[in-house]
Amino acid sequence: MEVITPTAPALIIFIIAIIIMAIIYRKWAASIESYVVAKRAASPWLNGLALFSTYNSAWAVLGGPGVCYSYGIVEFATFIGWAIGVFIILWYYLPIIRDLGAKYGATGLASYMEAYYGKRYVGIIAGIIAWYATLFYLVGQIKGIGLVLSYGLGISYDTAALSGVIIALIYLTLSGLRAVLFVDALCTLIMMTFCFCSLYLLFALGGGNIFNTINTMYRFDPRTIYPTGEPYTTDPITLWVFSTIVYSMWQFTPYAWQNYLALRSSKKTDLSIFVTLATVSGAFITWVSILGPVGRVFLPYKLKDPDTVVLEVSKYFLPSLYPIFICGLFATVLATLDSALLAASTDLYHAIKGLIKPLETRIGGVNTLRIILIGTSFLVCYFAIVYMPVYMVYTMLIGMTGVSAALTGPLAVGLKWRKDPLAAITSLIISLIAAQLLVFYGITPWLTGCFVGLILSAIIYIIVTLARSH
Amino acid sequence: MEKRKLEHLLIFAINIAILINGIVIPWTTMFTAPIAWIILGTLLYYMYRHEGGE
Repeated sequence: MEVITPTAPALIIFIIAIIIMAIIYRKWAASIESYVVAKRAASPWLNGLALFSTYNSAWAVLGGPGVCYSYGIVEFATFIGWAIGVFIILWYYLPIIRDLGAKYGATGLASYMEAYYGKRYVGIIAGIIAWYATLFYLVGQIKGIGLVLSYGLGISYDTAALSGVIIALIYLTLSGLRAVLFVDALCTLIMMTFCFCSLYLLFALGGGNIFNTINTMYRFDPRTIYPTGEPYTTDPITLWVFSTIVYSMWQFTPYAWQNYLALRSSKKTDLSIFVTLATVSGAFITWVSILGPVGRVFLPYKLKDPDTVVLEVSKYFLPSLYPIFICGLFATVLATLDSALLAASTDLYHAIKGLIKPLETRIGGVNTLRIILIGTSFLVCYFAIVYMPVYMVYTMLIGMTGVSAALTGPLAVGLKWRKDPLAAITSLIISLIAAQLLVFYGITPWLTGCFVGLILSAIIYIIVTLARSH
Repeated sequence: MEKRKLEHLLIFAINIAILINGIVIPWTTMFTAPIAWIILGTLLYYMYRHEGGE
């Protein structure tokens, strides 16, 4: 076989390991329960390690550093704020989600919401919204995987994007969540190696002292180290506080629900392992995002696409470790891509269950889900290739941060307070539309738009519930 | 009950400290935050290690 670039052997070994895992766990595709939530028996170590890389998307390793390239370490606020949210939200909500999910036999966000609120329409609407929002998010992931594979293998973006989707589909269709958990845990180990390499580079650039690197960046432009809040808000305090609040709700986004529902128990010992592993990933990713301003200060040339900064920095300064960077980036994006594809397909499957009943009786639930999975994958791949997003922020953050903010009423309030199906759907739809309109028409920066959506969702839920109870 | 209060206190105090650290000297959170979360997780684990869960 012709080796295209020095990175190719490393990537090929990684892909072979993934396929072997898929074959080993193929028997887990026997039923929907086992295929989608791995029999709800995943250990907190495995599941936490898997969530570590699942949570970190193409945004964390490509888009975020791209923003840091232009505006300084502004993304530290969103990553750290989000990780604070991981700890607090998961600690208080995961026991409810996991235990009620097991009681209801829920397989994802939509089926959980339907069972919790006791109305079919809640499942249909939540399923369609979850699928739609995840499509946006997936387009960004596929751009990420396309960029990484095209850099790593020297192939075109289109072929690279399609190859990434096909690799994910192999183990997704063959073994479902069980293989996803093992592949994602492996991805986490590779991702951590890549994060440590980023840290090494940061020390190396300052002659072994990180303070020298930071001082060089500070002297170049103080805003690289003390960002002003742009492009999200206009001052650093608002940036940190809003990021923490808005990103706390990120934990309700559809793509991590399989991990929550698959956890073996809600004991506090299991919870502390799972939550700590998932949270620490947020800080690890700041090691990568600081490569954004490093690229701006230390690279002798300017970048056309800021999203490629991590690739360019590693290629320029650490050519010998470049394969690790490529594999780390690929692993991080792949881990998010597979979970998001599985979640989107499961939610759509649940929403249109009535329509596809004849097909399901003919070929079985797992095979029907596989068809939806393949259809969703190629649909997203088509959009990512034909309409490649210039800035990932519009596809990833608006799609998912918007929907996670809109889920505040039905989940953050609804799970701890009173149940009301109509209030759940009203708050979800109105706040989602409001947040998207505010951001798309440029009325507010996206962080403020999502914050308004979040507050609106909680208020509408409370008002409708109180009005109906009278 | 006391343990429960301590749990809430630990979680909120440590996370708010990380947030303040981020506002004051953002770049240092890349080191302080993971250490703080690992300590927090370990403390919570040892607080509940003899219990079967709630």
